[in-house]
Amino acid sequence: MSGKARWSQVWWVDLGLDENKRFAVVSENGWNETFSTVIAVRLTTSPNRDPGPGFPLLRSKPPTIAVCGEVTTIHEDDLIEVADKLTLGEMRQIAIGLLEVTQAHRLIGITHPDIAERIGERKRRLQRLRRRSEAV
Amino acid sequence: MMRRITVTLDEALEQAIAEAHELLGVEADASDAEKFRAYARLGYEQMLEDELDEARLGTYRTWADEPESGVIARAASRRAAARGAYEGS
Repeated sequence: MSGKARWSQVWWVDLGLDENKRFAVVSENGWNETFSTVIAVRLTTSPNRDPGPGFPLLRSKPPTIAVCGEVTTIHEDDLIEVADKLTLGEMRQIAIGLLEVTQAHRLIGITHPDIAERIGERKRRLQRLRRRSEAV
Repeated sequence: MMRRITVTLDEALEQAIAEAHELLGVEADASDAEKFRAYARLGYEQMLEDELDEARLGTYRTWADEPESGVIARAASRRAAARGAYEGS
């Protein structure tokens, strides 16, 4: 049965290793309900690693880093148990990490979200949208 | 007392300003000041992108020797293949 996993959930996953691993589901729910697989990003709480682009720090307690380069397909039969649910802000960090490891934003002509924020583009875009919606 | 500052542009720059409005995303009849602001913004954006590129590659290097790096990805692929996730592809 498809659809047991939801976007933003963190699952313990059995990969046949010594211990189960934690993955965050990044595939949207339409996908999750249709297919027997999910797209997921590995999370690690290894204390010896620093976060950075492509490896966003989601939480500081315990330090939880998303390894966005290790985005993978997981069959739902290997999803063992829901471990957690990420917030919108944490999922946004993963989304930015995915952009960083794929550089997809450059292909579609979008400024990196953090840079857009620093140069005020986001604010300007919101102002433009607001003006447009007021004009309609 | 206010002082007037005169800036002289060379011809090449004037030509670039005349042509560049589309790339800069400003109106064709935008003022030079507006175009300069757009140039500055573009340059700043590029500088931030370069900084981010450097940080990204530096982060990759620090993670490259993580013991679990690649191991889990391989295990996940093997597992997904064994479950038939890639059948038909």
